Amino acid sequence: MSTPVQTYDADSGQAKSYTLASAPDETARQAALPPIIQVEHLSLFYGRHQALNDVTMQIPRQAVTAFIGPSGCGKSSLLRCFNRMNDFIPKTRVTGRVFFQNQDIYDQQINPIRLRRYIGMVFQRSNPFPQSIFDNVAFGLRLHRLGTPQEIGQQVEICLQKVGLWEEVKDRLKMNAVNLSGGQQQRLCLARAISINPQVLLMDEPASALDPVATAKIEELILNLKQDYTIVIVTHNMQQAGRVSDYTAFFYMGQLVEFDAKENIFSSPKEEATEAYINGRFG
Amino acid sequence: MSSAYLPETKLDLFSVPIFSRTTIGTAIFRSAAFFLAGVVFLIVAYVLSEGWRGLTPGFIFTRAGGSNGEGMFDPEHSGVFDMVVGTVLLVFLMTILVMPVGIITGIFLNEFADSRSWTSRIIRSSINNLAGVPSIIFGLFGLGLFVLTIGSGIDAYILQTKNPVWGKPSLIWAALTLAVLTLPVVVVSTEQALRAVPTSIRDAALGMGATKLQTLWKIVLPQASAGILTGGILAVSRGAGEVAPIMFTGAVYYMKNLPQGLTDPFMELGYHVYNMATQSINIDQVRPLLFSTVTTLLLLTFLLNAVAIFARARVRRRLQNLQHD
Amino acid sequence: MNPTTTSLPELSRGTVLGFVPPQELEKELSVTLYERPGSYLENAIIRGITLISYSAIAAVLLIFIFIAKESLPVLLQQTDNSRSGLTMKPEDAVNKSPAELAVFLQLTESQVARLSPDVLQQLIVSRNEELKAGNSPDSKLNTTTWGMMFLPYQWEGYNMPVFIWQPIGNIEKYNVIPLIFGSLKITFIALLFAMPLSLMAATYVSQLARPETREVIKPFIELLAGVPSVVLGFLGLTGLSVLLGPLHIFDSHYTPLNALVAGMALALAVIPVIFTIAEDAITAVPVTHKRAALAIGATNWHATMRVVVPAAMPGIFAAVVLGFARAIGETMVVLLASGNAATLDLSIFQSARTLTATIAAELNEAAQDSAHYHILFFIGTMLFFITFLGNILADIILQRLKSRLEGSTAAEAHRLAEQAETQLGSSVV
Ligand SMILES: Nc1ncnc2c1ncn2[C@@H]1O[C@H](COP(=O)(O)OP(=O)(O)O)[C@@H](O)[C@H]1O
Ligand SMILES: [Mg+2]
Repeated sequence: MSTPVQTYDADSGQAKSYTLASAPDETARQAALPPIIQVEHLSLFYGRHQALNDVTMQIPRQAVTAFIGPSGCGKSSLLRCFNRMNDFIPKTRVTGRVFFQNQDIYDQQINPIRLRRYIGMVFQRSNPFPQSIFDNVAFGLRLHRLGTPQEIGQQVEICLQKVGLWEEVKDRLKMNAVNLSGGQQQRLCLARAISINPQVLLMDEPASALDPVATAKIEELILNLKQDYTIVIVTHNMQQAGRVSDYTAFFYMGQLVEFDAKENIFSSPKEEATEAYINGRFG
Repeated sequence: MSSAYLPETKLDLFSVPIFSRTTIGTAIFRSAAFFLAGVVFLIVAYVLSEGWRGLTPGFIFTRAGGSNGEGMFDPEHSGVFDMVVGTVLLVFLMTILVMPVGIITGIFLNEFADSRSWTSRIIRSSINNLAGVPSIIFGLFGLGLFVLTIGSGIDAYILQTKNPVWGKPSLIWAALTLAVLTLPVVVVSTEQALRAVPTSIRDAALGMGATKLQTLWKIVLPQASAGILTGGILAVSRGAGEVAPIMFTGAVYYMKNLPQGLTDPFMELGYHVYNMATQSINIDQVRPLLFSTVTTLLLLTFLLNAVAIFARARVRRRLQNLQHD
Repeated sequence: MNPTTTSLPELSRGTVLGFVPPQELEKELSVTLYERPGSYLENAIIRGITLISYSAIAAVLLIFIFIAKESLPVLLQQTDNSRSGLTMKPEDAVNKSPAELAVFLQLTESQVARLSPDVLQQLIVSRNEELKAGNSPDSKLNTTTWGMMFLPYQWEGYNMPVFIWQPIGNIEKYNVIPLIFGSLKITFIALLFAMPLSLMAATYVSQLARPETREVIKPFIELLAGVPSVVLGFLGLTGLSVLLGPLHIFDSHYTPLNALVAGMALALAVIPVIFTIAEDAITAVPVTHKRAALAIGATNWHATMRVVVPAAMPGIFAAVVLGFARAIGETMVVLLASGNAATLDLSIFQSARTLTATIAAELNEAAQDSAHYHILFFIGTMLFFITFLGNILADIILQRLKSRLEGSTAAEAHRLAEQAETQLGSSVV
């Protein structure tokens, strides 16, 4: 099974085609790399409400890992633990540990602000800043003081090309980003997230508010970007998990029920609950 | 109940009873609303129709006492220049004092405090209370704290003089009193403006590794600035119309000179209306003067209000556009 | 299709900004993740913001402290204005402070300051005689006790106990009951007009009016909030009092400036308060409630009156409470339009004097630290408490209503929002 994918050459700006290596080979290659995020006995509380219960897992490098499970099972909560976005929710408490490239990110000494420079995030609803398209993508670069204005200009172009938005917006980079269509906005957010070259991209149901065509574009991009970034995607859409992920984790009521290569989860789940969910018997 | 038991009737989907509770009730409520709108219209029309003729540039730019100070109530020679200057200086100072504190409090409540925490609850309820304290109480407060305690304290311990310099009613104390009075207006408007900025774009900035302050400064405040400004305008309009708080803290019946500094008392439009209405010997004679002064005051506050309402509508429309796309 | 295969990582990364090669990542992270650039400054700024925000609490406390402080002599009953044997040697005048002289002569300090020594001595002499001449038993009374302030007293020359507020004169009378009565009377009249009008208008604007009508009516009524109260008082004085003039046929003691005129003018100040808060509360009722009623065949009127308005009832009540607080605390309107005679007359055609107007009219004349001065602050303290309680009550009601309409806990609210989003999402996908 080989998937032809369109992308752009950063130097010449010309379109090129690639064939992604077939999936089983991929997984083998990824499995050989050390995991980028390790979760150990992680529990999360919102006040007295426990949202995650003793989760232990490893997120493989340069692969797409999908979190599936019924609404409210804690997928987003776990995702937000990876870049400590939960810090902003009052009265949250975390026990257990999360390692990012062997650094314990819940260590007292760690600066979560810095962490988010390496672990980017794309949200469920597209959330471009009400500024120009250019400023949106340049935001992170300016924020972290990366590059000269000229380099920033180049990087903005590269990122917009990577998300396939360059041709659509190159003549109106000064236009307010909120005037883009929903799908374009979400791709812009993706470009903004990858502009600072994070190691990991977290995506929380990135396509759930989009129409099928825009969704397909986003999925295509995800497949494209996984060469460069480790991607963790939350989705409640099983077909989507099947299409884009290499690994799939099934959560239920705050617990990690099963985590395996996508093929195994979808064709031969070990747990009954997983099978029931995948076959649409609850959720 | 099966359909067999239903009597044979034709469905009546068209008739609308003319006299039903619905129509009569709605009519009564509607007339109440229109009556109120009409009253407002009448008030404005009445004041303007009586006062517009006197409202000439000469009137605005003529000193209150005419040329010699004797004819303050003389409609032929007296103007409102002193009062306009006093009012403008007063609200200008007040704005400078209230805006930073009000905006920062609004920012704290909406951006930094957990809305369920005791701190933010107490601050919020203080703001609500401040908004409900009678304005005459602010006058007493300003007199007690600013004039008699702080001002007299400065005179006694820093300047060491017997002649009151700071320890008397003056521009600065009146402005401070009004600043405390208008604090809730600014805080509430700031909060509203900040709340209208979607959380999702804050998340976006935070998720890129911006700190809370960076997010606030680069993303949130530029979005909220128009709304915050509206709050400032509303505060100015509110401050320009208040008389009771400045009666004991700075406004005076008559002054020969314009105020020269922060420690000078001043004449003020609203207070002057009160004085003319109560102190003049022949009210029919000062009537034209009185109406022109009231018109000046009303136009000043209405103009500010209109600007604020217009600005707010624009912000609201932009936000709606934001949410639709 | 025969695409060329290239290694993507090399292509897209290479030199681009912010890229950290895998072999250097761990080393870089072990440094950068622990850096806290500018965090001291940030923390200092946030602490500053927090501190400044406390100023609202400080303001309320300071208001309370400074008003209570000046009324403390009354609260602790330390004031004594009995005149028995109270005379002043004219020669002593030079040793006395202007404040003391002012109290003795019943003048203001600035007036005293302007007097020449000769005139001052003459005034003291005549004041002494005046005090001796007035050798009625009343002059030996301390009229600032709780009893004299709140209970009726039979003054010399009266044939029954009465409540009198008369701070200027030979014997100062400080009974606050006529003032409380005047405040309540005018407030009652104001609410009588304001309540039904503004509540009906709020319901109409929020639920019954067409959007275009709403857009016209609402700003008009809100504009009333922008009319300075001194202007409303002035309108009562010059406009309303003339308009209502013909009503004198109903009362032989009719005064042109009376409780009715003041109450109606005051209603104009109260209407925007009640209208705005009630309209907010009614609009905040979820539209689903109303739709449910409409779906079973209720007319818009019935759905509004039987479903929406009852759901907003606490908010409407809070609106009235705040309207009451505003009415009882309003100064300039009543000062100008009420006629300011402190009576206990029930007739709405008689003038009345309120607590607020009394402070406004008399504070500038009361010598500092005189009994009169402290009693005016004491009235201020009473007003502060009345409005404070009203505000707290309204605050609690509105908070409750808000959390009831929004879902009681944050977790619950979050779940509802998630559900809504998921439904929205799945309906599209
Ligand atoms: N900010 C929050 N405050 C309180 N409870 C929350 C919050 N976020 C999530 N929860 C609760 O935690 C649980 C897990 O939520 P979440 O991680 O968002 O689920 P999912 O993304 O799988 O639908 C849910 O029961 C939810 O109600
Ligand atoms: Mg979620």
